[in-house]
Amino acid sequence: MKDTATMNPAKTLFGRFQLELANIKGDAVMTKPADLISTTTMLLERIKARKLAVYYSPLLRDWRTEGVFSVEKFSMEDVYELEETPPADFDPQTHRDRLAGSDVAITTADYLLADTGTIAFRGHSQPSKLVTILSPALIILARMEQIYPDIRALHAHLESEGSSTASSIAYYTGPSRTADIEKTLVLGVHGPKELFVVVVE
Amino acid sequence: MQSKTKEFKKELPRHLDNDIMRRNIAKATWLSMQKREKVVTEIDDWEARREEAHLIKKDIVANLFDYLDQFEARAKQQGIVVHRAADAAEANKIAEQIARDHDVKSIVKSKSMLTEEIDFNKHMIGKGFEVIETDLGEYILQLADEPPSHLTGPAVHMSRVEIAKVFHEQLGIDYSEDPEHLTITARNLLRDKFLEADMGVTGANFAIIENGGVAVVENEGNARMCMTLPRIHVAIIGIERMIPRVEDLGLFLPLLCRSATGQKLTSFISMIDGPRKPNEYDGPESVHYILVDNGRSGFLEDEHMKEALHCIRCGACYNTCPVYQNIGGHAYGWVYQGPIGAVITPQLLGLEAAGSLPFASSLCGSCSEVCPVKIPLHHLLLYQRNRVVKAGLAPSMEKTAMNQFVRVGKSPKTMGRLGKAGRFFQRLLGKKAYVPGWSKSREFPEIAENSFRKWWRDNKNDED
Repeated sequence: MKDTATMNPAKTLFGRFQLELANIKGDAVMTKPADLISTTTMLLERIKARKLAVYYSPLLRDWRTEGVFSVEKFSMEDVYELEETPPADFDPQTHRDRLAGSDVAITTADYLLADTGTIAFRGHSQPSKLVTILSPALIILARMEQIYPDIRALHAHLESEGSSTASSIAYYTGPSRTADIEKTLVLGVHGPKELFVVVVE
Repeated sequence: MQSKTKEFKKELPRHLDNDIMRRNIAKATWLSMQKREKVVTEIDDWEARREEAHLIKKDIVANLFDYLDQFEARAKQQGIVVHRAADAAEANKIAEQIARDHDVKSIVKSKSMLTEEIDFNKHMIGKGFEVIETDLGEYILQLADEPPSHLTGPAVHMSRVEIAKVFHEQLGIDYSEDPEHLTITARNLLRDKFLEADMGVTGANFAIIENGGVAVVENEGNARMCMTLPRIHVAIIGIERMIPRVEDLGLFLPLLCRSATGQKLTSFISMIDGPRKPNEYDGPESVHYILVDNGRSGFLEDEHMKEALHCIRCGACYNTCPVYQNIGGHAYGWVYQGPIGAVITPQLLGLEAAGSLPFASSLCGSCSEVCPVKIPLHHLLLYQRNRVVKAGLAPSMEKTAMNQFVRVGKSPKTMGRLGKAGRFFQRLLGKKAYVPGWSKSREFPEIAENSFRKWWRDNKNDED
C-alpha cells in the first residue's frame, strides 16, 4: 500500500470528488490527455447518443481543429457545434430547437468542488446557459488543477484573485432531481438526468 | 394566498383527524431531519458558521434600506430594470405592467414563497395571462388547486394515490401511482410550456449587494430554465433577501442546503446576471427585479422581531417542530407555517388575524437549535404571545383563569384551603377533577395526599 504522504494531493481531491458525485448519482472518470477522445466516445456510446451538442470552450478548441468531434467520427445524426461567440447569421430559435433536440451536450467546467461533487461554471466562459440544461445527458470536461476542496475555498480563491464579481457563477451538484412525490427520488425532472465528468490528468 | 389564520383553533381538529396527511408529514419530516443531521454534524465549525451568518444578517437588517439602494444601483449597472413595491397589490401591478409592455401571453414560474404571499398567480390569471408552475410539487398543487404545506416540499402532505388521481383527472392520463411515470409526464408537458413561454418568473434566495446579482437555489432545473428560456425574466425579491458579497455564498449556500433538504448543495444554483449580452447565445432580452416590502419594514420597528427577518427559508424549523409534525402546514392557514410562520404571520397579517399562531408551540426550543441563522424562534414565539395578551386579544376565559391563579398563588392561606377542599372532594368522589374543554385532551393530575407545605414542615429538620 502506498504511503498517504506520497500520494498526489490533486488525485486525493479527485477521489473525494468522484465519491461525492457517485453519492448523488453522477459519474466521474479520470483520463490521460491521450485517452480523452476514447473516454468521451465510450460515454457517448453508453448514453446511446444520436444527437450531440458541443460547446468549444478554449480547452476544447484544440480538439476541434483536429476534427475530434466530427459527425463521421462519432457516427451521430447531428452535431451542433457552438463557437465561443454566436455566428453572424445566428438564429435563436434554431439554437433552442437543436439544443432541446439533442441527447447529450458536452462542455467544460471552470471549477470542481471535491467536498460536494459540484461543477462550477463562470458566466463569461459559458456563452450559452442552455447547453447545460436542455439535454437529457451532460458530459463535462475539466482539468485536474481545477478541483478545489469546497465552496468556501473556491470563493476565498476568487476573492483573492479579485474575480468574485467579474462574472456570475453557477453550481451543478448532481443531475436534475425531485422528491416531490412521497419523498421518492426521481432523476431528470427538467434538467439533465445523466451527468458525467471527465477529469483530464 | 387567502389567509385562514383566524380560524386556526376551529380548524385544528379537521387537520388532526386527517390521518393520511399526518402520516405523509410525519414520514417526510422524519426523513428530512435524519438527512439534515448527517450532513450538519460532519461540519466541524457548524456553530461558528451559524454565528457568522447571524451577524451578517443582523448587519443587513440594521441597514436594510441603505443596502437596498446599493443592491439596486449594482443591479442597474448589470442592465437590470429595478422596481420597488410597497405591498402585494403594487408588486402584482408592476408584474402585470411588465407583461403588458412586452406583449406577454404565457408565464412559467419557479417555486417562490413570496409569489404565494402576494397571490401572484391569482392576480395574473385574473388578468388573462397563462401562469404555469414548473416545480413538480407546485405543479401538482396547481392541478389540485391546493396551497403549499411546506417551504421546500410544497406537496409533502399528499400521498402518491392522491397525486395519481389529480394527474388522471386533470391531465386525462392513464391512472398511475408510479412517481417516475408521473414525473416524466410532467416533464414532457412542462417542456413544451417552457419553450413557448414569453416570461419567466422566479423568486430569490440571495440578493448579492456587491454585484446586484441574485442566486436561485433549486433541484429540478426548472428555475434555471425560467431565467434563461423566456424573452422576459422577472425576479420577485423580498427586501430582506440580501447578503453582502459573492464570497458570502460560500457561507450561506451550505447553511441553506444542508438545513433544508440535507443535501450538501442542491442540484442547481444559478445566478442572475442581467439580460443576454452580445456575445451570448441565450438568456432573456429583458430582466426585471421587483423588490417587495409588503410589511417587512414593519419588523424593523421592533428590536425583537427584527431578528425574524434573518430567515433564509430553509424549513428546518418546520421539520423539527412537534406541532408542525402533527398538524401539518395547512393548519397554520397561510403561506408561512411551522415556528417561523407562527412568529412572522402575526406581524405580517396583524395580531388580531393571526394571534393564535404563536400559541401553537410547546416552546421546546428545537426550532431555535436547528435554525441555520440562529433566530431565537422559541423566544420570539413567547414574545409574540406577550404582544397578543397585551393587545387584549387573549381569550376572556384564559384571562379570568390566570387572574384567579395569581390571586391563589399569592396567598398561602387560600392555596392551603383550596388544596384541602380539593383533597376532600377527591376522596369523596373518587375521581380526578374534570374541567370542561380542557379535560378533553388532558388529564387533571391527582392531588397529593399532603401539601408540599406540610411535607416541608415535617421534613425540614431531617438533614441536620
